[in-house]
Amino acid sequence: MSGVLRVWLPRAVAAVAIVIGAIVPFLVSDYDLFAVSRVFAVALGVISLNLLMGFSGQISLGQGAVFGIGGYAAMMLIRYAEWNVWLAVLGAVAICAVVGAIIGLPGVRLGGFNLGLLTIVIAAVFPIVLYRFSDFTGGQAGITLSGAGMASPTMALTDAQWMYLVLFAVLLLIILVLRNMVSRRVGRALAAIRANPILAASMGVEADRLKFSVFVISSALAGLGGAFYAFVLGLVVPESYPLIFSITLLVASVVGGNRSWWGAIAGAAVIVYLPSWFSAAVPSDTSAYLAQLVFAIVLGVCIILAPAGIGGLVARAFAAIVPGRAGPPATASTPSTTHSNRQDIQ
Amino acid sequence: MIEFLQISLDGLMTGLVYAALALAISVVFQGTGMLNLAQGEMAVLATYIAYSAMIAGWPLWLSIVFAIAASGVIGAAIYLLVVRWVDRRNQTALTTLGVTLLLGINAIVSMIWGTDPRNFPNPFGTWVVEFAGLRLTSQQIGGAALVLAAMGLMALLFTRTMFGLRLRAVAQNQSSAALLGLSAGLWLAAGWVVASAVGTVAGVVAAPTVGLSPAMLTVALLMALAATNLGGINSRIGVVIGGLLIGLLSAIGGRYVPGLGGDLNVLLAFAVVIGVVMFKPAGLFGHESTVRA
Repeated sequence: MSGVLRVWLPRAVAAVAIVIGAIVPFLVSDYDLFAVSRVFAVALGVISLNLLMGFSGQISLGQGAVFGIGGYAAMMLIRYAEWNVWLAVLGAVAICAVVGAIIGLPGVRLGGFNLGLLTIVIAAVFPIVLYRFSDFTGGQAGITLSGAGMASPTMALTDAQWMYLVLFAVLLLIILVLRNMVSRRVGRALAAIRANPILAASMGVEADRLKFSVFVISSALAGLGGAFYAFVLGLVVPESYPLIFSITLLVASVVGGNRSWWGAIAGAAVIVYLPSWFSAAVPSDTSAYLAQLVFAIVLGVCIILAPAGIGGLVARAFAAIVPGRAGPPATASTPSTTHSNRQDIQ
Repeated sequence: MIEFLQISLDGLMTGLVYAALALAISVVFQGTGMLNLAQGEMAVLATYIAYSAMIAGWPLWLSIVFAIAASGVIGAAIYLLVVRWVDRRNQTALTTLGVTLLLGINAIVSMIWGTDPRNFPNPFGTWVVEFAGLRLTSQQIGGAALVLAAMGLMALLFTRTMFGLRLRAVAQNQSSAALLGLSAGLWLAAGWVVASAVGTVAGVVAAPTVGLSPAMLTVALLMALAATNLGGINSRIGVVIGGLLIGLLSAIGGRYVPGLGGDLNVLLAFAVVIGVVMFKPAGLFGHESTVRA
């Protein structure tokens, strides 16, 4: 009985969430939809970080810069090359994949804190480069779109509703694809690398190649999120992408739980909504820093008390309510994970 | 030629600040296994404490000594209250914790003192030494002297005292140090105290030239991180040499590589670092750790 529950309860919850998500645009104001669309776009960035950190164990302190590159690429393709919106999104994804390959080539070999250094430098240098090449990037003023980022194709939907629905569908699709990916061979190979790189190598897992692929995919995803984020806001400016932004994405990933796709949305919601709540409650310059301090405290508490984040807590609560064989998501170092990998990796 | 020498000299002087921060990062890393990305921000906090003490009417040098002591207490508190509760084998968690501290301390500093740059008085007066066409300002000479003194003291502490010996013992092998009756937590906290104190010197030396602001040491921190990678984070001498090299490289890159002036002079330094660690991941003076499978 509990077995049935264990399989179907999460599916039912997901189905209800999806139905609600699809109805929401017809119930709430365009302004609120704008905020939720921002959450979804940021969530794509957080998901890219989850894939990188949670599943392949590589750190990036510069994902915000890649996210920004996606935004700038999309806007510049529309503005200067006059591509249509969808082509521009694809272009941004492709450019970010190339960027990911350029960072990943040395990055995979570096690993550990050398990779941390490489990526934090990219995050720090990105805004400087934007100002330096202001002839192309518009400098401080950035690049704006003349109309809506993604205009609604039908009269039945407002631009905000259309934007929301597009992002919602893209987000669902990406989560579905990634879920499939990590629950198959690739995911088990990644788990083996995280658990014990030497063991994984001796079983024929090509760790460097796999990590590199994940790096490229993750960057492409960040670019996708960045492009949509730019469309939602209708502009890109350097001050959207400071070093702190990259760090905030990391906050979202850890707080949401970097092994949970749904957690990524929760994490993104935290970093989008919290600062605006604070600026409403504390009407002064300090509100931004108050939000930042709260981020830091929440992140610190998460690291120490709930390393698996909100996603992990939910999974644990679920396991407690519905007793069964499957406990909370097994940590990478448990012997059972390593053991079950053995049959799948030649 | 004179210009090249002058630029190199200026670069080395700036490099000393990077070296001091890198040394602090290295000490913390050797002890705690954590890449403390907040080291720069901790130094900024301490520099603001010195500034406030001065505003309150304390003499400049007393304020600086007070700030060094205060930063030591803060460093120990951070270790004992936060860092020691994180699993030290979990690299990602520890690095994320460094980011957390960076975020938190930056927020606290910005809320208390605001983000507008302030003038931090130059403790060394204003005079210039000219020699064979080269010139050094009082700030450069005094700053260099202060940083070198701090490094020298630290070297003595680590190599010539019982305190340093125990510190190194705990950093090297916690469990066998524990068998000798050394409380790992307390000694690692002592490592944080030493690191914070050295970092504070870097902050005080940098503040008069770049202006006291919450983001004052962001670039210096990146440079210090590059220095730890270049020199090898496990080698205290290595990171100091790394810091000097980075200072030199960024000064030369900013002047002689077209398009790299201003804020982008960091790029040459980073390119070299990444080139080096590609071939020698442990850095120039670091040693690779071997893992038993």
